[in-house]
Amino acid sequence: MKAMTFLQFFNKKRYGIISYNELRNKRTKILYFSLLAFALIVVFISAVPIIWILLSSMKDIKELFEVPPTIIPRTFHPEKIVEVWNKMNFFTYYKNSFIMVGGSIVCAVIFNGILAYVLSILKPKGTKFVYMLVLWSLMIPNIISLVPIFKNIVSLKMLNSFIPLCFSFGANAFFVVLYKSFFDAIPVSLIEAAKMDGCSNLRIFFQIVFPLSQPINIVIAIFAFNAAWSDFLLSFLVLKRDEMFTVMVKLYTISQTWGFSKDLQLMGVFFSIIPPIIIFLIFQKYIIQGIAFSGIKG
Amino acid sequence: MKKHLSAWILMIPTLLLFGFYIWQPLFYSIYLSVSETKGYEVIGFAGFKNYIEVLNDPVFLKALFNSFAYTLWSLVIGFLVPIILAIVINELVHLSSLIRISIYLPNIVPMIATILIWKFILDPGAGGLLNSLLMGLGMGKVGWLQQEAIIIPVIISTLTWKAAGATTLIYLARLKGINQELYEAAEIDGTNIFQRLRYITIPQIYNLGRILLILQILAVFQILIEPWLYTGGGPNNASVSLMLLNWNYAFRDFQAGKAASISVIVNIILIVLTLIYLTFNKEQDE
Amino acid sequence: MKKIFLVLFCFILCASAFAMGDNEAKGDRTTTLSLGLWPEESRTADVASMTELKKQFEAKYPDIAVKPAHYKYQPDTFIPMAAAGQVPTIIETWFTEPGKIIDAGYAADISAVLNELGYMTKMNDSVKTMVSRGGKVFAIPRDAYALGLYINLNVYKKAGLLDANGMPKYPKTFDELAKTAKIIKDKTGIPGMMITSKDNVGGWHFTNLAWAFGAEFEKKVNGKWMANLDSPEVIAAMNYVKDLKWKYDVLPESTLLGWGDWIQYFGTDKIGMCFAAADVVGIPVNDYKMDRNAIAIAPIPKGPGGQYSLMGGTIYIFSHTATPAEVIAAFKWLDFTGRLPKIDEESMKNREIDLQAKVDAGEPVGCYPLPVWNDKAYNDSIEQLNRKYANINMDLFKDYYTIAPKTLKAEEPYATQDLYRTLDGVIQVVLGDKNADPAALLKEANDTFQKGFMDKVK
Repeated sequence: MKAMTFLQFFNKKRYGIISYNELRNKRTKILYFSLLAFALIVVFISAVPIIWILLSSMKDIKELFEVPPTIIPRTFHPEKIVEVWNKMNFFTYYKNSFIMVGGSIVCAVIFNGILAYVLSILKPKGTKFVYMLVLWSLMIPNIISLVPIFKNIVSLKMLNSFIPLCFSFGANAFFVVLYKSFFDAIPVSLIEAAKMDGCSNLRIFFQIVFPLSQPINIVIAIFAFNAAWSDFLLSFLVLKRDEMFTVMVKLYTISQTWGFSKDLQLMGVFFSIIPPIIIFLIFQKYIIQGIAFSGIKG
Repeated sequence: MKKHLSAWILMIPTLLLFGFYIWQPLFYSIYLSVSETKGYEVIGFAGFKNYIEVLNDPVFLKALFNSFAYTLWSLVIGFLVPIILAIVINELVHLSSLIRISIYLPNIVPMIATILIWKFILDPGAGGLLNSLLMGLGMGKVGWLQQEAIIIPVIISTLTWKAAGATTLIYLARLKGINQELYEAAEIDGTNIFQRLRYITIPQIYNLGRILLILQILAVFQILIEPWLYTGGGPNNASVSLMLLNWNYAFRDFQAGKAASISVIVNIILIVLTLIYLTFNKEQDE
Repeated sequence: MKKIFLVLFCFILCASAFAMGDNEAKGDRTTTLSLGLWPEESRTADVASMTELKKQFEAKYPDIAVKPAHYKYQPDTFIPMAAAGQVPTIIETWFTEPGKIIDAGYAADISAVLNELGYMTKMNDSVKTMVSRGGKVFAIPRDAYALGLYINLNVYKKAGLLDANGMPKYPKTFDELAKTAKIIKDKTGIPGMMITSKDNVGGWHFTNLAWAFGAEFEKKVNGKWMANLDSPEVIAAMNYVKDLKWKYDVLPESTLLGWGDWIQYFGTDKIGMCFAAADVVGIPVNDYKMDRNAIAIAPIPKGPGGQYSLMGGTIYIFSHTATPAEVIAAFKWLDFTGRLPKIDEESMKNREIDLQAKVDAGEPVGCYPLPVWNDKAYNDSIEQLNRKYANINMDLFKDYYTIAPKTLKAEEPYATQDLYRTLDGVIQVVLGDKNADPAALLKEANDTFQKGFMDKVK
């Protein structure tokens, strides 16, 4: 009975190379299930390291250093989460990370959105040239010029501040390209009508274009969230004082300088993974759509 | 005229940011690379002295070679994985959302956390997860992150673990966009599954594959954090990359001029790679 | 829609407000002493004693505000910070670092202050050379330590290497070291020894090992400094390292170990012995809850070329952006906490507060540093205080304290860090490849080092 319902899924098979008809054939069925098995192995490889680390971080210190390591943990101490959180003052780093990530999302959406809006809809003289520069920037990711960027930030006395980190997300060629390809599809008539009513350019953006773009805004916001949460190099250079560290910079400190035991490091990994996982589980539908969109347009 | 002006005013803040973070630093790198520097300050003109010293650094050749090795290995290991995965997943009707979610999961783990996770798993002793599994199967231990011969493929594998899921989803979206009637018509014509894969599926994702190929080359060529935190460039510089050398010059040895000259060299290589790619594409399209 | 924007802008504003929260102390306190010596938050006991000291200090000097600015020196964080003028008024760094920092112009010239306070003449000569450029002095020493051989008594006990009194039968020569390590490995399965190979630490430890084989890495030949990495002595030392790995098989599987790694291995009883200096004896106890009575330190063994202990230590440097008033405030702090060669009631009391805090935290106390000032009374007081508060059996350190000070040797003079990095590379190959040829590798390393660095020495 169970097998029946399992196979009934084949009725849904209306896509792909193998057709529903062919699946009645025994050999094709074997092929299908080997593919399924293959995919499940990949799922295993993807998920198990993460789950193992999350569980290991809650082992007691004795089990953690056992040789060979236990694959299924014997001890489970979730209270370590609270302990390390308090001892290492992780609240500060979470607060810093969230301020930095929030500011980055705002910058990513507004600055790149407005540039794309001008390039896609207003199209003043020189649009082509500017767009070419933007596309060119796509090829030169900025880690190549860290010293000059750092110098720029220092000369503005912006060290130990989240501002240069947030604003760095306002200059993202990839986001501009994504926005532009979305805006290109907005019907011109809507914009023309607003212009007739005497709306200013900025008002058209905030009152018409922006609300119409919620799907892409969410995509950019999520991308920016991930990138900002994981950002390390620039944060590492700019944030020099412990009380300004983001979670990533603290994780680096915990793992790369002595004075922090291995179980603290594992807890650090735990703290650095949990927020993105929560965001991912909440927004997974948008994220998966967003990646698909970025792939097709970008 | 007024229309242009007001549009430009809107653009200016973003363009300033682009200037601050991307364009000005790029040109300033060129300037730094031909300057005598003390710390990050320019104290004079150096001509090509920085370049000559960098080229004479025995580590430079190794780093150059390694950067290409990273790129090649990433093509060998990482390029086909998402394509195959996407084609397979596209055929499945069971558990498809579980599969999609799990393969994307590694992508949201921050880079530093990824490195720490794999350092634990790949520990060369019997305390490493992978080695203890191998020993359980009666095989020997492997010094994953400390053998010159395999260090680059191992690092690339962990990179693939992190990045392949997201790329798979991009291919998957493209596969979903293929007109199903093509397959149906081909099936009626009596083609088998592999012929359809060869003559319908592959041509449909070919262009996307080309774009992702060059993006991957450009990204992997600049690998920095992974060798830095996995091995510090070792063993015996077997995993040092150009960008790691650049980082070391800039932030360890404090020689901004030499660091900048590596930046410029990397930029030139990236431009050349892009140009080769573009000409190659043009020829193919004609 | 507008609402959303309001919220977003508030967010940006908040973010900026947080970012700007860089309050300088103001009011009557005209000088701010930003103290890089402040301990990190995970060391609760140290923070508490420091807070107490700060209170008393500020009561004594109403014009100085002490601002905690914890900074743990790391080469790749220091340089960007210094370039941005963000270094705290005073920080600690290691003996290996001042050359680079002074040359880059990031340490304040403190010759005048030292002369005025009379400490200039009291400074140990070899230390003074290390922190001077062109007759000017840029740093003062905190303390110095000789490298020693750490012995894990838990592992020794398992291997049956303790005598009737619980004293370890430690190796006196490098030959014995290999044999002892082998006994440990055979009896317990635990690697007897650890050899580092990363982050320049490998080369640093190796120079000490190789001196015992008679090595001399940098030599003046006909008035010109020459690299000497491929001498028979260095090759013999490298072959010894190779044998530890491949012949005796007494090293951990990991062949890429840096400085901090010994803490975990040693603290969790995963090695029997390793090289480290006496100043860090508390770390495995603090980090891995190791029993403080399970640690002993022996002198570095003797080799065919003699017996040497590499001298390392900690110095204080002062930010190049610090005003003279701030530098003087920093000196007042050092004076107040008993870090300068001067004995009075106040500094003695404050040194005791510091030691008591360590005792309260359960960290080992008793391992005193080597003298860095030519001031016998002060040096003796350090040793006496440490013995007074000692909570470990000092017999376990007796030979180390007798022999190490007599066998001290300073690091190689030129491009020291680059020398270590070059040696790191060779050690990595030797530990990773059973068939590696140390002689050929060292020849190649010698050429590279000569061309890259020694040729530039004037």
